[in-house]
Amino acid sequence: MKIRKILALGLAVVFAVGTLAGCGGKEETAETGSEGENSGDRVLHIGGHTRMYPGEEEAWEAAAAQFEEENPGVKVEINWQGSFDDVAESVQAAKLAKETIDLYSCGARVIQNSLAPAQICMDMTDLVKPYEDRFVEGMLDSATVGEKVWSIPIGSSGTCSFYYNKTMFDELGLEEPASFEELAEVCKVIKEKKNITPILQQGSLATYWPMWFMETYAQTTGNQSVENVEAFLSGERTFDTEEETEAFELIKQFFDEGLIDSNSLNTDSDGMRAAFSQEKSAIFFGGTWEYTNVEEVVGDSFEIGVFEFPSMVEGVQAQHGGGCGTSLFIPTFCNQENMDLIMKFVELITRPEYAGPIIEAAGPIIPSIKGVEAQGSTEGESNFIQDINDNHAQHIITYLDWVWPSEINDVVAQAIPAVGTGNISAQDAVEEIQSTYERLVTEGYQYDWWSTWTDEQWETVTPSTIPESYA
Amino acid sequence: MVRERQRNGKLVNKIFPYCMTAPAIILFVLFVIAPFIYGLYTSFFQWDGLSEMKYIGTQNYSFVFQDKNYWSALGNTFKYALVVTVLKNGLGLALALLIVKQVRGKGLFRTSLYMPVTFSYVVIGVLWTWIYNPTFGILNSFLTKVGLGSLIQGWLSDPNVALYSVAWVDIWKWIGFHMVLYLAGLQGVPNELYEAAEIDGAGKFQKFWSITLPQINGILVVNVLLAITGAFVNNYNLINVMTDGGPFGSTEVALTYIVRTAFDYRNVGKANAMSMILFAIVLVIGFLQFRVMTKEDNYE
Repeated sequence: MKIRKILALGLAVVFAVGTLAGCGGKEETAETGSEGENSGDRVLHIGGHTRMYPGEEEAWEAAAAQFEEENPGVKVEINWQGSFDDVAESVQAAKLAKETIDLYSCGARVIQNSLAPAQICMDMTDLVKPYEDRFVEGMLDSATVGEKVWSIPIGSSGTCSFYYNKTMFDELGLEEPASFEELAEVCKVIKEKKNITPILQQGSLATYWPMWFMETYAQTTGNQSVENVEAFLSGERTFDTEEETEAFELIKQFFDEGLIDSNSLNTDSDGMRAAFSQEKSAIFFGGTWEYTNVEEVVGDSFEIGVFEFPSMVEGVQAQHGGGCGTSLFIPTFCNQENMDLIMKFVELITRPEYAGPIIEAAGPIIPSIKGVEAQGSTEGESNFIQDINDNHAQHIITYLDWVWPSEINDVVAQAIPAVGTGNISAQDAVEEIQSTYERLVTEGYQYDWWSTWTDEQWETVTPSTIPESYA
Repeated sequence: MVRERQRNGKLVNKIFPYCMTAPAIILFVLFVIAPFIYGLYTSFFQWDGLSEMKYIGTQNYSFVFQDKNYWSALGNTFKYALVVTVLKNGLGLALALLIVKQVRGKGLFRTSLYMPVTFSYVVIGVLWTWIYNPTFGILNSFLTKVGLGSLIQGWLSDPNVALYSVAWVDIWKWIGFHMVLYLAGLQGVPNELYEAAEIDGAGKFQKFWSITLPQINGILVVNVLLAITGAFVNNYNLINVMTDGGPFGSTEVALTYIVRTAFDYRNVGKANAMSMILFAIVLVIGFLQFRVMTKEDNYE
């Protein structure tokens, strides 16, 4: 009995100590990094969310191997952890655990909306200057907030288009529509001849609805949507004017004319792709990132085409939300003594031969690095990507959800189907957006957060040294 | 020597229970009490979870009281809790009453009804999303085939229906669990009471009302408490998977809005203030329900 008790006590102590030990942080000073692991070596730590595309991880490892070869005595440690959507939490956990990360690869939106305002990202404006000409024109703009560059885009710019079943269009003698009236006519023919849902949207996922608003709002504002949103968020204009109301009304037309029906409201991404590939719908509105998945499920069944969002306001050019989705930033909790290594790696990763395989893994439509070829640009492959690059890309503006806060984005996302199905009016929707903004302001929201930063805050995000150019 | 041994033995006996409960207490303190206190503490700060915290007193609570979305989400939580609690218990008890009798295939029924309890919310959420799907889903095609096409709904897209569609999935998952608890209670009711009641000329309803219900009151209290607290604090996964709070916020409950506020809107302080308010509400409801349902006369 006594032995049992002692054994039980021993186990209890081991369990308790083990639990406490497991809760310990990773003590690692910023000065030393984890150099002790490789005595005499310098270590460059690269982090990011778990890679999402086949071949992407291998491409990063190849770049790291090349870097180690070019820089003897340097070891690159890569750690991919967490999901794309949980980057802020992963970065927060790394910071709290005093983990050293010198470069972090993640989505651009979280950098702009959360990490940069929270002083997690180094100001890369001066660091990136020697390499500016390696980026496709305009790509650095999507990494710039308050005239400062917070990250570098290593990926493909996304935008939105209507994807359609080109084989079905050809069979029915239909042309790509350029105006709403033409699109309505196309949908009518599809309904009559094929008895299927003409356009299916992944409408059960609210996050995809704001893309529609970006399109119509660009037109109702005479291509001033980004400027208007910036003015709205700065408190210089309200969001309940005729331009905003009309943007919602234009989306409602898609519902009223039967181009979109209630099936879309219950359909997610898989459902949308399944319906499209099984020819239960002929058209869907989606991002360029859909291409790889859609192409995979469609296979050789039919040819896919794309056309731009139709013109709905006479004399106004259609514009589409866009921006390079993946970026690389320097966390403020990096090892600043590694700044030379960090920038040497930036130099390497912006070379087309190393950026290429990373970007190509995602099936790039509009690559961010010069010299990296877009998917489909090879002869014999689908030519619609070339179409996007040649035509749609000229009309890309910054995604509005990279500009406005998540709270506003959620209201827009919820309001669009509500207006479309007649549950609320367009006027109600814009008033709701306006009142959400006013609530946010009372809770301390500030759009131009950089304008009120103190010297101390700027010091936190300013690199202690600007290494020489390695270009 | 003997005395010393006796003293040591007494000491071991004294500290033994503490040592045995220590791991559980440590875990409870580390993962429940400490986060709760830290949550309460951060509810007085403006904090995005990333940058420095800024003390703002009770302002977060004031922001929560002015945030109509939170109160609307809380309203949905109450609706959800009411439907789920009534149906889980009503149907659970009804099924237990059916199964407690000697019926053929009793074991099969009991196992089949209990099986969903073992599934994760994510799995059943995805499963029912497809069942409800208007294009591919089996529910609408079943209704069409049995001539009930008029009942077809946008189960997850109609804001008037979506909350109840999700609630039904929660009920379906847990009904077997409640049934088993009621079954245990019903099997413990002495048969003599029913025999005596029959001699007194009591009908089926009278026997149920005057014997069964009072006799299983303890089980009833536990079941209702589990259903209520579960409906308030355990509905995040299901709603997140099935509707993510949509359409138009009609299925947004307190938990989904709290998580959204903390991790999407990066307003951790305000989210913690919401959590504290929710905690207080659940505490009061649980306390009231416990007091009302465990009145001494209920057992008589």
